[in-house]
Amino acid sequence: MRTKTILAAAAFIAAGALYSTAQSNVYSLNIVGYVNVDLTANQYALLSNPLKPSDGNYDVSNIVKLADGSSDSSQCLTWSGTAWESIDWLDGVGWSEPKNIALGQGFFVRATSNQTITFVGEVQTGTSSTTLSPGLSLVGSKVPVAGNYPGSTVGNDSDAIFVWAGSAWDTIDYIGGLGWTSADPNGPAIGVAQGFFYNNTGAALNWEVTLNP
Amino acid sequence: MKKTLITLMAVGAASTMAFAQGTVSFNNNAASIVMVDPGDGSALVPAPANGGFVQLLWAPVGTTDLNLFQPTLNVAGANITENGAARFLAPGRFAAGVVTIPSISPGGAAALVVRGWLGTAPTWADAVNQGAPTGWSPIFTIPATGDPTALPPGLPVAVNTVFPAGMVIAVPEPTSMALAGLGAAALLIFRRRK
Repeated sequence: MRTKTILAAAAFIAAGALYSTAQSNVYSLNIVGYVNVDLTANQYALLSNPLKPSDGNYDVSNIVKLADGSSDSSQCLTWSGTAWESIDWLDGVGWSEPKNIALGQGFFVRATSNQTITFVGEVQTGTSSTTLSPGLSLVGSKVPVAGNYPGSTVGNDSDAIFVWAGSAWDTIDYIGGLGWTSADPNGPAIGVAQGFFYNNTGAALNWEVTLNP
Repeated sequence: MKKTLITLMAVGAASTMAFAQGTVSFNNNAASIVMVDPGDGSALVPAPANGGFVQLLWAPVGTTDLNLFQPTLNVAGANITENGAARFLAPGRFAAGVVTIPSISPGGAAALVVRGWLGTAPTWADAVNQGAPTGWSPIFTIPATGDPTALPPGLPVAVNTVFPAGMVIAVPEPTSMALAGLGAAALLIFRRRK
């Protein structure tokens, strides 16, 4: 999977709802952009939704748009918290059923042909928070920024992160007082729109990412 | 004491059963479209979209007797009924999401077969009773299923990777229907005389 972020170059910064008061000016900044992800035929890619669709429609048909006519029998798999759910792409029909793909939600896609999918929408700014509940969560960053996640202070002793390496899992453990066992104690390098499993063995955690333009 | 022990054993067995299962995605593809034999000598045609249902059954590998196959456990979805029947989304095509094969080792192999029928009957039994067109796929084996108990959980294996081409739903021939009608009439007469 090769991820290309074109946000920096192609983002449009729309200044809307501009008004002024006697003391101050208030600006509403919407960063709109897109993220391209290359998919290899018949390989599972673990992705996450990095952008908020401008129309607020989080259905898979609006988030993951495959190439109709060359994607028949492609699959999208989501994790309910305890089990997998899968839907198929049928050329001429689209996804076999509706499925919500929330901001920062992880999911697998296996396309049956090489193609590029494009996430389009607004960047969430400020502090984005992701709750990592006890058990397994399939997540990704809520902002389209690569980094070492979730940070050295986010983790319970013996928690684990599973990163999909294309055909197998890489496992990174959390050791209390030390951080993550990856090269960077903040966690493994997670790309833009990349998903990963977080296995929380203790109390619920809050993973925060801040993006201030 | 004895009662407690039996209860504990039953709970243990139940929890083992709950984990002893594999998962598959119940789907087919363009190479394994379900066809319909109109029964009038004309060519096979794909089963019509929204015109019928298919259901997945399983048995231990090596089973050849269709009577020994059991329905899989279905996760509720938009394209599957509460009876575990998946509708045709497009001509000859179905995609019903993840289903669970109980009582096999997690990730283990299973023998599978798909049965299908045309019409609106909600279950296989109803379809048979109504004389609806029915059909079976060849029995096939899925060498590995998804292991939902692994960490991280194994992905469900797509049935369409092993589902064979050649499933045909046959419209009963007029002679067969006449014979069935005669049989039913005979039964009625026999019961009335008795």
